[in-house]
Amino acid sequence: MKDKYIKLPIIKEIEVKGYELFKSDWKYEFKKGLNLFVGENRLGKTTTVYIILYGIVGLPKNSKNFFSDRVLHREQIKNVRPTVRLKFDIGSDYIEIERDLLSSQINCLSINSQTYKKDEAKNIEEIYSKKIVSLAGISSLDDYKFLLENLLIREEEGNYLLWEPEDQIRVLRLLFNYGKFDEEFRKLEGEVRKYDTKVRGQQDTQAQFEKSLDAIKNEKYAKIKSMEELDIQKLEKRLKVLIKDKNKLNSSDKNISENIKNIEKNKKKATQIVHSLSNEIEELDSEIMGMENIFFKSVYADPKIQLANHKLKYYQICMFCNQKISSKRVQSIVTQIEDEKKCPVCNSEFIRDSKDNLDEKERQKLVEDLVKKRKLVIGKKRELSQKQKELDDLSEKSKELWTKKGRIEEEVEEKFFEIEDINLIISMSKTGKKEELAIFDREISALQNQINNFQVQIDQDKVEYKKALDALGKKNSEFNQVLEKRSNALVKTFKNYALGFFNECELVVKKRRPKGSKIKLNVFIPKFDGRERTFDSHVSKSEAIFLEYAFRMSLCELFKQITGNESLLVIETSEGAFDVGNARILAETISRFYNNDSYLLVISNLGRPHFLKALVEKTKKDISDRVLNYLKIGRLSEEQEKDREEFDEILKELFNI
Amino acid sequence: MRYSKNSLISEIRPQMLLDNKAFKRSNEILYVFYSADELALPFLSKIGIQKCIYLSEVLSPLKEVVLSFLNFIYLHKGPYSKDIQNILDHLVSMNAIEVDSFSTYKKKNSYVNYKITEAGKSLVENLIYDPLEKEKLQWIRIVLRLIDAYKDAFDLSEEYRGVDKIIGLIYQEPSFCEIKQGNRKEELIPMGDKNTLTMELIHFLEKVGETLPSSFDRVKYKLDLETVLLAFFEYLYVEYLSEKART
Repeated sequence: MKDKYIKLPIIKEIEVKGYELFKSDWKYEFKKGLNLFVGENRLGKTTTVYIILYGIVGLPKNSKNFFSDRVLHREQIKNVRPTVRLKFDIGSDYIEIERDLLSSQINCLSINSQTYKKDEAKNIEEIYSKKIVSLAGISSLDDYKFLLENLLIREEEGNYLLWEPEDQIRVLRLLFNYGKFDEEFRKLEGEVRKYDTKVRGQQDTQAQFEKSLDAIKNEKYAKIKSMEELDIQKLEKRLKVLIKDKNKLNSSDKNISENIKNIEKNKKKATQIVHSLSNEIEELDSEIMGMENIFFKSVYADPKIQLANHKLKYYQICMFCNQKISSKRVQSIVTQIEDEKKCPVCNSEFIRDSKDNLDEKERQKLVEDLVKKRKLVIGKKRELSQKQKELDDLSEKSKELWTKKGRIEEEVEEKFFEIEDINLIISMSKTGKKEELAIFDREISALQNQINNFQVQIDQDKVEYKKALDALGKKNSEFNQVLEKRSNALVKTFKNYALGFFNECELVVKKRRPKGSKIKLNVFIPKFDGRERTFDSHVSKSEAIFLEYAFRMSLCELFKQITGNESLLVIETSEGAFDVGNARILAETISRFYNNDSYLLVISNLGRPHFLKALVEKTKKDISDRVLNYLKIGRLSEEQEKDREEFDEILKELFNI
Repeated sequence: MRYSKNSLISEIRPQMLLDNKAFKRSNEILYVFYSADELALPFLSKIGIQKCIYLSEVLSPLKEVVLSFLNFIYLHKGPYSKDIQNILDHLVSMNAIEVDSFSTYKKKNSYVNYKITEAGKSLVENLIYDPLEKEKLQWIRIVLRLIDAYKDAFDLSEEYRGVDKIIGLIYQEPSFCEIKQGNRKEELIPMGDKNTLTMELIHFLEKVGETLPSSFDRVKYKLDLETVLLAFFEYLYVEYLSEKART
């Protein structure tokens, strides 16, 4: 009867070597009753919890850097291989295991008197796993991992078994039934889920086919209706109208194209005239300017007018840039102009410019010509303006015609497509309705077959699903009977622990359906002050923590009572959430557990000594060899070093160490 | 008008006059001096000539004559074109105009007064053989007559003398005024086409004439160019008086 149940590990000794997080290597031997790990923040207390957990079950595959990441300076860890050596009992069997903390590989393993070393036994991990499964009566090492994480080790900010129905029920299944029961139960759950997923998937696909079927049916009905409504005579009449309209439009389009052609021709002509007139005007303007210049030059050549060298000679001012120049330089230039009769700039001989010296008759003739030319230009400019206007009008008209042509072409296209459609409908009506409808019928029949095939498969899978669900329900009923047997004892133990903190607090069984489960499962939830506390939001933080400790201690105690198997419960306390009075009640409650010959490890901070004091007062044994002091093994910060003396005094007072 | 074909100096052309535009600018300045002489204005200062050319130019679209000074900028003492001063210097060097007097005012400021010479007058008389040039002279003559009529109507400091006083009117002239009020002094004053503010005002005044009652003797009071211009000058003068009353 005893072997029906699983066995939990009882850790006897832990030894950590070469791990950079700690100042020195350390070792601790666990004793029955209270074991205390105390220290300040960031000295490695929580890491120790993980060293215990992963020392037994190994690091998960995706957390290979777990222990190197917890060290402040990772590079310091490169050349050493930190190890953890754990000694623990499973029932009457003795296990000793040493793991590389970084790689999580087993270096050596002893099971009872048999020893395995990594270098000699290549399958050392497999040997360990198989042996543990066999000795503990569990299904796989994962069961141990689950129990350690969810029952035996309660971290400071850990989970609540009381309000996680899925986890609670698995813990209960593992503790209070035969070892493989939980595996069988979860296998059945898997089966149910598998068939459920399969049926749902098939139903979804079937629904898609049904949708397509409906669409095709609707299409067929619409076609039948349109065929019934089809009036061929009316369509043929419409076709005639359309063809007539189209021909009319084509004819207009042709006319417009002809018009555009003519306008473009005229535009070309007008453009040529505009260009030619512009050129003529430009030439005339240039001629006029030339004539004006001759006229002005002849006027300004009046002998009364002083010319360029006068400005130079009498004002000593440069005739080009108006700058004042020296008399000497002026004299030299004037000599060159007047005596040598040469240009002072290019040194050329002066040549008479006959155009500048017009007599009166010549000048009169020039002005007459000038007036004529100007009149001519005015006439040409007027002509140009008219032609330009003509050209603009032509361009505007051409633009309008192109727009009109575009519109007509669009209309022609529309008519063309309508004619095509009507022709198609008429030709289809002549080839026969039956053939067309037969295509729909073939598609409908094929889809209906698919839907029927799915239905057959769904029906079969539904039978399988029902079978699996029944088996799961049966299994659950079986377990509920077991649980019912244990229920009173568990409630009693729990009530006992809760007393003090609560006037009266009990556990009640409630049916809850965990996420993803297809059946409702019986779970325990706390009830006090007349109210069931189904969710953790129904209690305060300190109440939640206290209830969780009480529940776990009750489970361990009941497990020991039923199976005779011991275990080590690890509590990393959250006493910060408690006031002084409640912290004392918490300490008293915990002391009731360890004074009952149970293995308990309490990991606590020195910051709230009243809790530790209350805890120590309740122990009936000498505590000095049951304390692991992190101030000695951890790396203290500068601030912590300053407070070291004060902490040592507290430790001395509390534990006489 | 004859001159010696054998004269050496006649063979040496003044450089500035080789360019058609420079000829025309010289002509226009000479027409201003010629008109002033006709009106018995003894001289024109270097500031006064700027005002005369500006008004002739900014109003020119009314007569549809094309004048050649367009680059006027805003100065406190009125619109200014540097091209005018260059031409004045050349005309002096050619003896077409001469410096009549030179004086200083408040030590810092100098006045240069010019008047046309006999040679300058002779040049103008020859230039107006060309009817287009004659038309320009006639236009400038009209503007000068109005300037002469209004120049003494403005109550200005003794800093302004003779024709210079027409600045009082130019301060109200729309194209100049717009640049002044908009503080856009680096821009050229718009002119030379029919879309300027000045021409908008002129057209407005023309329309007023069109709306006169039928009893109005259109023959006797012919709305000619000079009447429209007179209305323009009168309008600006009233504006000047209103502003003066306000301040």
